[in-house]
Amino acid sequence: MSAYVTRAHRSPPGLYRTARLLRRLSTVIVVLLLLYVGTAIYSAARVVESGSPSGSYSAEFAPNNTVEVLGSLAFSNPGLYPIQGFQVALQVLNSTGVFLGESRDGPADLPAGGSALFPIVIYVPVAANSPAGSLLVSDQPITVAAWGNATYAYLFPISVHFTENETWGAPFAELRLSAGSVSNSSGSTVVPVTVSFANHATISDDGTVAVTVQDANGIACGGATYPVAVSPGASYSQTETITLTEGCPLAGGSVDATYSTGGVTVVLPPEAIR
Amino acid sequence: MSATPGAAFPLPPSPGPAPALPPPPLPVPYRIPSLGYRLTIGSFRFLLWVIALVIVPVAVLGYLQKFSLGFPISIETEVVYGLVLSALLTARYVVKPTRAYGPVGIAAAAVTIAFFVTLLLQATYHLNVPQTPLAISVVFARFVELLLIVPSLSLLAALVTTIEDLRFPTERLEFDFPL
Repeated sequence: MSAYVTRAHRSPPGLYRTARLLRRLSTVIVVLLLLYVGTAIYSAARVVESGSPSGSYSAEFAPNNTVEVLGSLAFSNPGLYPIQGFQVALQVLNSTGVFLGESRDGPADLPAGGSALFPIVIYVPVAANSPAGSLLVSDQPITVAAWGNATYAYLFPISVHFTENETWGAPFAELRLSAGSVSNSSGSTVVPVTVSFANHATISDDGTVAVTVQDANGIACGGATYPVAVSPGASYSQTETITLTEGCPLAGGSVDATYSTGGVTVVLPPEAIR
Repeated sequence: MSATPGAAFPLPPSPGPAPALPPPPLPVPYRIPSLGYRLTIGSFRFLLWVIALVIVPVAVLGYLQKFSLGFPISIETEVVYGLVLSALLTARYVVKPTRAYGPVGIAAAAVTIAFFVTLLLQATYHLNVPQTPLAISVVFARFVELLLIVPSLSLLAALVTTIEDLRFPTERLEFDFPL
């Protein structure tokens, strides 16, 4: 007669179960992380495919001798994960690296499938005595630098930077304030002053140019107002005869001018009288 | 002495109680594959690990480099870590029935942790989009930190197995290699 030895089913011991649990846990985590990173890459590709942000810009003269550049950037997020803490900064520098103006916006959140609009407001100083005074009268290269920071899909901080070189078109390019020869007319001392420039900007010069003739001590000898309506790309040249006050020597003096439009006045670079 | 008629034949002398035999050994409740079998299967597993940890990543990195898309770690570093890890994971399989299973598992987890730490130290991906003025930086340190959980758990598991093998040398065999 033979005996059958049967073993009772035994549950795994504690140490074995602990090691097995840890291994299974690590497997679950690696699978979840792979799924997560896969969907994050897919979402990022969809965001990139959705195209670059759309924007629109306009410019106008603003108080305090500035040109105000207004615009907006629209971003969309067709991905599966939100874009959080999105910040945008724009800086404008002239060709020599002088800071001209900047715009900052955010932080804002772009939910998955959502979009956001970022307004842009940059004041570019164009006063004759400012570091960027030549912007009024000289076309020149400028640098637009943009930064964007955000956190994508909760885990990935992202920063985007681009630098673009643009050409600034001066609204009073090649401005000349030319004083002619002094003469007498009907018992008065008069001088012809010619104002000429070309509008290379994207905004119209629509207002008045007030010209003042000054002597060497800065005392006003006379003045005139020139109405201007110069569309982008057009040129302007007009001569007015200015009556001077008695005994006002022009030698060493200057012709000063201001441009006024819509309640805003911008000081134009003066020109010495030769 | 004469025999009495009708009397029974005398019984032969009794041989006494039977000698005690040793009990038959209990069959072991596990079946360990032979070393040759483990080496053969291990070789195939090594090939699969090399494909997953060396060939595919190197192909992806090489493909990205064609588009000037670099990666924080070099291809050489990736190859070294991939080969070492493939060898350790294969060795872990081959020595699974032995006490070396836990320590080899610890070594494999430690190499994986070292790789992730190397990645963590350079966890910023800089991308200059070709032919555009656009530069993008992505920091993936937090993701690598999460990834570090995986080898850390494997390290703990291997440590527990090492302790188990030291205290109860054959305890896990019937569960790792059931009949």
